[in-house]
Amino acid sequence: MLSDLRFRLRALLRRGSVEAELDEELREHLDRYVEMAMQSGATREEAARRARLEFGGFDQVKEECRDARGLRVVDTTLQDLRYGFRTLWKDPGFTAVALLTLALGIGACTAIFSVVNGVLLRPLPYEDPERLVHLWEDPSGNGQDRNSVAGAQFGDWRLQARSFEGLSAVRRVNLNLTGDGRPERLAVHKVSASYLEILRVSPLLGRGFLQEEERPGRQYVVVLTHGLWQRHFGGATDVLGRAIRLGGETYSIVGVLPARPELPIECEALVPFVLGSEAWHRARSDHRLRVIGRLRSGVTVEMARADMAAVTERLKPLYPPWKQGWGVSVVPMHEELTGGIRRQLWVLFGAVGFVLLIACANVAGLLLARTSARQREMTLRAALGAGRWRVIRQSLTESALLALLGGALGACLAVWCVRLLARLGAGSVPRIQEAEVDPAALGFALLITLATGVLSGLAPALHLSRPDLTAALGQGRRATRARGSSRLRGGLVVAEFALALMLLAGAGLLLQTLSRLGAVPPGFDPRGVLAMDLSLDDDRHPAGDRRAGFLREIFRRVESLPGVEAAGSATTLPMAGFTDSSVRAESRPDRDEFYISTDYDFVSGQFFRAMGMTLRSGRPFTERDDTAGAPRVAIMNQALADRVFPGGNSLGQKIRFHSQSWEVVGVLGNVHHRGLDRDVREHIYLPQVFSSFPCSLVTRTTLAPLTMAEAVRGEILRLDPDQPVSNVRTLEQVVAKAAGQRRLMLIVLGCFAATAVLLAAIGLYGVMAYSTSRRTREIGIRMTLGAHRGVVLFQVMRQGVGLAVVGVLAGLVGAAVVTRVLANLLFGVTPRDPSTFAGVAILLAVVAVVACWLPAHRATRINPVDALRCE
Amino acid sequence: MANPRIDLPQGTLDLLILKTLALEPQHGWAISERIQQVSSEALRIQQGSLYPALHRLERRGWISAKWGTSENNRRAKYYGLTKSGRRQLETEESAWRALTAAVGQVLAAAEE
Repeated sequence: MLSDLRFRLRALLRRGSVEAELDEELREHLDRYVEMAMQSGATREEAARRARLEFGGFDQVKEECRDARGLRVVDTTLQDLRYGFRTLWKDPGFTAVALLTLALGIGACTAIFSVVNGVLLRPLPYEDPERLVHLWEDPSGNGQDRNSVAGAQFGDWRLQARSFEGLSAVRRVNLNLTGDGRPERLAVHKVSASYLEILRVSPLLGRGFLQEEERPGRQYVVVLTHGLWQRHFGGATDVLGRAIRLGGETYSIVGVLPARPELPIECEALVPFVLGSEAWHRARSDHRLRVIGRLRSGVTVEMARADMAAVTERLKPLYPPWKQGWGVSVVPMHEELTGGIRRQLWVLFGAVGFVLLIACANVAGLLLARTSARQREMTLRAALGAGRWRVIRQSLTESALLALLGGALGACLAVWCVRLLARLGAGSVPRIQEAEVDPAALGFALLITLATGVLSGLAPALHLSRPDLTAALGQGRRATRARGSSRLRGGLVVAEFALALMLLAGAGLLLQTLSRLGAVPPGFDPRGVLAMDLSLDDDRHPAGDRRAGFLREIFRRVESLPGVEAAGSATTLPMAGFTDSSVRAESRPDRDEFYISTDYDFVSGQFFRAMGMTLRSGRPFTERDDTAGAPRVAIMNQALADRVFPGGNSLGQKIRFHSQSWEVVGVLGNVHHRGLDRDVREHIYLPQVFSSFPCSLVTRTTLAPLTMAEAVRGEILRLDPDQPVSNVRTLEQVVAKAAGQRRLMLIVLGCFAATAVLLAAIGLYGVMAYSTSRRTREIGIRMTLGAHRGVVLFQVMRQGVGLAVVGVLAGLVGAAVVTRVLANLLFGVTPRDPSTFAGVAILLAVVAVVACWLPAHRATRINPVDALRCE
Repeated sequence: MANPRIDLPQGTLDLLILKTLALEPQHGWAISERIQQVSSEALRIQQGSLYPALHRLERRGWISAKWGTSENNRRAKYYGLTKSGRRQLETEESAWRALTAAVGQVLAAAEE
């Protein structure tokens, strides 16, 4: 076996010398024969003749020897390739269209595969990533829901759970980095000492946190991420031991993280989380923590779930009554990070597969058309003795060549596409930065290239290899072969239109969704509003009057800028997160069933005016309301008012919130705080002075908001040079980001649908052009005999449009089945929305009519005399 | 053509070549001469099929080729048996003997 291969390889590589040797060997033999014959008395010529007869054809023997050496396969393949190249080169129009089509199909598939691979298939970049899990509190009790974790829960879990090597809390805070040049607001994670160990990330410089640094008083150490180290500290190697001021306290830098692997949740620095340092750490009803952990080796997720269920049972007596039904969700980290996007990516993968199929069908159609034209050549070959297999192989080699060239182009296209996708999906698709065209993707590209080559070459190859010798060699081109081929091409057109319709339906549904979302009144006016985030340090602006006063001064200064209408602040902006709690009408008894769950916000300044929110009744907060000693007042939204004081007037009533008594002074119109696609939630607004949370500054501007950003930042810095702001954006950007995932799906699916429609139209055009060119004579006769041009046009187009209509109908059926996968993305439309389906069907039909009309129109404009002369 | 030639059954040419080369390496001409000789002129190899057979056997790795000088001072390609060739020869030889014995038995029995 091995020697066989070695032999063939040698034969292949050292052709020249092998040929020469063969020649010499055989000639030698002949010469000796001649000599022997001459010795027995024959003349030289007689001897030579006898020798040749004996030998049986010198070249034929050589050929047989070559065969025996196993060169034939290689020879014929090389021959086929050369021939294939020549044929492609001679017909640049065909080659260009085919290559482009293939490049589009293969490139798009490879790009999507790269994304799927990078986001879903590749394991997380940590050691033993399948042992990393996320723990959540679960309000549903059956493992479905995920809620942040309460401080006391985390403490108990750490003590009682047995399945984990380590559990770490992760608490995100925003701290101001001051005293070192321009102040910056950093996203900092407070984490347990075991955090880096759990992830198995070793610091690049220095160390992680020690166990004792989780204790109060010892926690003023910080580990920088690589990005922060490079950006703010210039990558200086002597940064360890340096002191920096974070959030008003002095921290010492003890470590720097490497650039890779990146932390699972993005942040800029790590500080220790001291359990017990704040009141809410001891509560079971205040949920603010994320918890991650690493399973012990040998422990499965199921075992961990059982373990946590047992722990929960033991802790239940300590739970408040409304939490009795809660459980714990243990979610593998990979699923946590990518679960939300998984379905969408697979849908895109399927969709791009459709595009590839259409591309294959188009190329197959092109090849079929071309081979019909080469019918005579093929039958001649068959007549000269080429076996059926040989003809098939030659045809397949051509299509494989086409596919390989198209695939190479497609791979280049894929690289560009992946970069584009990474940029588009930056906010909405987790891990998309890890998507790249790597060897796995290239291998995939090669695989689909080969499959494409075989698929698109199969139909013409099989078709060709059954030549009807006499009929085809004859003059008339009405051979029955042609009819078979055009039926096949017709079938391909039907399939293409069906697939294109399914993609269009999906894109159409998403378009409807986005448009319906856009039509939902958000409850505020997002146009012309600038937003930025602020954290106020306790040392310079302690919570209470000092802080409220500082904010008021900021508003005053900002409002004095030309182009600013109003400024205010809130602790959360709409569609950028929420915090919830519960309220009770004071007149009701203090029992659980009277507590209404509600979202809440602390606002100050002219927040409502800046946001364009309208008060239904009552009044907004005044400066007096925003002082520490003032009577506590609150503003509810309509939904909350209706629930707490059903049917009645809520103004002037008292409610209980956070164990305090508040008077309702205003009722606000409903705002879609949690997203345009969710129902409106109950919401209560309270004056800023009673909160110590960081807040977001909103400014309504008459000019474009971003142009005012520097001016606003400047005013704040003038007031307090150590006060940074971060996350400068417009409210319109916030609203748009909330729809980010849907928008990305629409863009990508829309591109696929557009490509599919284009390719299908080209395919139909090709079929029609071919068929009309063959019927030119018939058309000419008809028109000479006086048929009206319009009638002839109609009759010619009928076949093509008929194909498209069949395709569209088949596509409608297919779409009705397939669009279910988009169900969780849709809003305001059902997956089988009739108006959308009808719309795309009509669109596609119009495209088909245009594609048919062009060649038919051209055909009917031919001078009948020319038409008759043709053929 | 004077001598009536026996037609070689399919595949026996390989066996004859291997057997001929069992003694010592020889070139193509010598192989065909020797087979003729040893079979008392009953077997004459069709020249045109000798060389393809030799090349085939070389590809299968049962014989190996080397260029050398022949007895009349000409360059010739000498073929020799390889180790696997020797094994193949044994296999084919015993298969042939078994076959002819069996056929002989049937023919003998039929005559009874």
